[in-house]
Amino acid sequence: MPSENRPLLEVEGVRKEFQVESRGEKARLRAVDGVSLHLAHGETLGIVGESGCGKSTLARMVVGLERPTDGRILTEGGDIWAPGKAGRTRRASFQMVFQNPSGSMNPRRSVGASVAEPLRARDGSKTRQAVAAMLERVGLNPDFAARRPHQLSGGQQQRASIARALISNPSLVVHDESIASLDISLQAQILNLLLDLQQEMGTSYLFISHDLAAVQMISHRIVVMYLGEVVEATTVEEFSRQPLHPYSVSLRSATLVADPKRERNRPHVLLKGDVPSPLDPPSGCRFHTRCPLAVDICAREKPQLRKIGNAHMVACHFPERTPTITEAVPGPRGTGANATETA
Amino acid sequence: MRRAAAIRPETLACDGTDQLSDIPVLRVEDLVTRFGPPGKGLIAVDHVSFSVRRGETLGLVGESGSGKSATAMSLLRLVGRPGHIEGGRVVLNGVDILPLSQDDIRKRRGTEYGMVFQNPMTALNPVFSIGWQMGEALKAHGRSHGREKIIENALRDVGMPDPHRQARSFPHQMSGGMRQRVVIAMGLINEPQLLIADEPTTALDVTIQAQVLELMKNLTRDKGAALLLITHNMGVIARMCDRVAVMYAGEIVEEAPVDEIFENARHPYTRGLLRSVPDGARPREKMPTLPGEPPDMSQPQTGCRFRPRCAFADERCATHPDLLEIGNGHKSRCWPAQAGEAFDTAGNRSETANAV
Amino acid sequence: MARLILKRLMGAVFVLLAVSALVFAMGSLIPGDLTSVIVGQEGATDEQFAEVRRRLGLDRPLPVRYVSWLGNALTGDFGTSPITGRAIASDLAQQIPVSLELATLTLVFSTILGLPAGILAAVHANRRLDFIVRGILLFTFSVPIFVIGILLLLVGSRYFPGMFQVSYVPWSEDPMLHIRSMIMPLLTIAFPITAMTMQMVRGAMLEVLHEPFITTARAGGVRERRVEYLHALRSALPPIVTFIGFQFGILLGGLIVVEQIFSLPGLGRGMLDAINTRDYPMVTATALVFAFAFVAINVIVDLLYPLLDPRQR
Repeated sequence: MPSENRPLLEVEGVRKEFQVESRGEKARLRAVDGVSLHLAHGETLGIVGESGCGKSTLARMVVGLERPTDGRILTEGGDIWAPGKAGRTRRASFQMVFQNPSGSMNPRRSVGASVAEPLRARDGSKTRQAVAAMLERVGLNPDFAARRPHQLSGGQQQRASIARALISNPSLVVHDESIASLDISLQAQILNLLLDLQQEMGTSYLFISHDLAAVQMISHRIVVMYLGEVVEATTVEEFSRQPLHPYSVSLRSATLVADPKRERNRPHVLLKGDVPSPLDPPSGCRFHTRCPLAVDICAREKPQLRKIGNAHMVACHFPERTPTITEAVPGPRGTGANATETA
Repeated sequence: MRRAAAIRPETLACDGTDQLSDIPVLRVEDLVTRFGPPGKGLIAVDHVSFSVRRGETLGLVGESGSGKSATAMSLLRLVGRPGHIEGGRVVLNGVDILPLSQDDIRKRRGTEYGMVFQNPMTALNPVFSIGWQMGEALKAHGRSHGREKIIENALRDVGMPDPHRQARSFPHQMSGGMRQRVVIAMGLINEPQLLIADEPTTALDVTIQAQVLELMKNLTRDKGAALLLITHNMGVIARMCDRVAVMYAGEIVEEAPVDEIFENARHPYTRGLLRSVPDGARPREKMPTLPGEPPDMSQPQTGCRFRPRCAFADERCATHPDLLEIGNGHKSRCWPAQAGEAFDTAGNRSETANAV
Repeated sequence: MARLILKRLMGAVFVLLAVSALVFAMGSLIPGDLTSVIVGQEGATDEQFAEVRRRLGLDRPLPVRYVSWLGNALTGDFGTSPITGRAIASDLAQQIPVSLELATLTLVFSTILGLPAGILAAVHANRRLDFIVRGILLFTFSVPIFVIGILLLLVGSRYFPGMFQVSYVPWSEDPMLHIRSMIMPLLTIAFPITAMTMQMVRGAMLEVLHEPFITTARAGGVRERRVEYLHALRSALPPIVTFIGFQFGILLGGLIVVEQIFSLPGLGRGMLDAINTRDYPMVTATALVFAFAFVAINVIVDLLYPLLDPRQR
């Protein structure tokens, strides 16, 4: 039974497999493999990871664009794939903002018409008022409603996409790399806008990005994904204090700081090689092929996502060793710029 | 050392002579590149001047449309139609390359400066093996002797495992990071003294970006090559560069040593750009940002081009400022900066007030 | 690779079966069947109709007729035409070489001319040479084939009577006369096809010339000629080869007008005659030949693709 006490979003053991063809052979690609997470009302959950980690597939499943192969996605306790109207309504209650604003708006329709799309009842003057108000709220001139998407700049288009996502007052907006194609100064503008809008409207965000700094800036909690799995989940404060998964540490180390002195003095973790193919993920801990701390057991046994301290989940056999990773840098492993196999 | 062996003796000899080391590898003076017919169209590169010294890394930073990529293509004289270089000088190792014949400039491409492009997925020809493509770069400059060995060494230098086998593989068989290593190997295969890299890591994952940056840093250092690094990423600048030139609306608006730029930026645009970089250490705090968007370059510009977005603009800014030296190696195209005024207190307030 | 070939061949067989069933069904189901053609519309009794139907096997159910027709067709026996009284297979055997020859010649001509023209136009895109090349070829393209053909016929027979042979002469009779009889049809059809090839090559080349990897080659100091004629052309080849392959398929069946104007006894003309005389067995058989040609071309192009594009291997 849906209720206010249940979290807005619960993802329970979700898996997504795709049938793909690789060198003429059929193969199964596990884009997302057993992911569980939850999101409260008014909260922002950031999901960070590199290409192939399954974050976009997860986003598409949450808004109902893809159906999970396995597992459940619940909103306030109700399955979004429940049969009939219940499921349809739940799926329609989430909105999404995509990476490419120009590609996600119909070029032949006016911006206003695109923004009004999620509104069910399209009562002429009321809709126009709602669109104008929403455009103003995202920092656009209401007159833009009459324009075509191509007459707007990239930043303005993304603002319009945000207006479209928010106009039906959804409980959750999923951002899939929504700032990735924007210039830095525009990224900052949009991040600020999202914070403001969340305060005004109480919307929850699932903010998916490859940019750790942006995720840390906007999120309450953060989830790190690697090859279809969650490797770490914690609050942003806890994460910036001490990430506990070696991959999270490497990711943070690789995220460059706009300060040459700090950049020169802070330790850098260079990971070996590329992300392995999700078609053939490594045994045991999926990160062990690149992990500077990996030992035998990591290749054999898959570490479970377990709780460490208060509200800190990590999937690593030796999270207590993780902080030593930066000290390991000068060693033969850490300097491994010489990559291993190609994909 | 393998790397040292890859350097040709004559290159070493050149580095040894004193008179050459005084001449910058590259000196650009008043470069103007226009897209469209003369007098009309869009000036993408507007009287840009800078120089890159031997072994130095100069960062050219700016947002999309600032003209930084058009600058790179102009340096190679590879601006595609309807773009064309309208004026200025591009002095490469002491020779102005703009008046040179097509064949003269071709001979310099690859040997005097190499290029690394943004997207490794499209920068390599999909129908040829990477070894063949690298061989083309060698053949173009008459280096056919021991070609296979040179290619294998170049691939080994960029950290490719099993270079003998990799030379026979095709780009689609490699990951993005590996392809970018190949592109770098190609850019350096004829041992240029300058490598121009246009957003070399923008298309890569961050952990791969870290590898590729490290590689470029080591390779250019080992080979004594200078690096012109074009990027929008302030973190990449901080990690890699010795000096920085900031571009806005087709012009360089500020130039300074890297520490100076980050600690004491003397152009409001640079300051705004630096503040716009999210900092993981301050979660859920609004950032002071730059309001507005860059000007439409197809329209004629008057006065300071940053004026409409600037919190410090006053009546002086209606006149177009020049890029002037304001301190030790620090140049700024800003009237208040040139007058020695500080960008704080009152400014800070309005800068923050601009936050959307 | 062997698997790929097998897969493609099996697909081709399936398509051919489907096409043959469709063609056969259409030939059998359209109103006014063969019987009325043979017996004649007036004055024939029902018994006569029934007798003819029995003789032709038309009284059996459609699937049964299809299977027996297919069985015969597989052995190369398409039956006898009720109109001409000749074996259909032997008619086709005479028509196929004529059309095949004209289509091949056209293709060779259009490729030899169109490929360099397209490359030239692309390399000089939006400059004078491009406009000239495109202008000439698009002019020939915009004039309908029958106009060109008839013009050639008039001009040729009036001013160069010795050069062209207007009526068809088989190679076996007189090779010189045969060649002269093929020149005019070739010229008629080849120009529009050349224009198509040119336009296609130009487009494919232009697309490749804007690819970043072309800039990579230039930035490495590779000579411009080599960039254009080796790097770019080689990369543009897969779509070009596909296009030329399909042109061949279209040409085989699309020669109706030319064959009609110049009285060439090819497949197109044969088809037209068969339709006019309601010679359904002939129509069905010819349609099957067209389908076979298309499918065969398709398979060849499919199998060529991995050779041209390593990504497809």
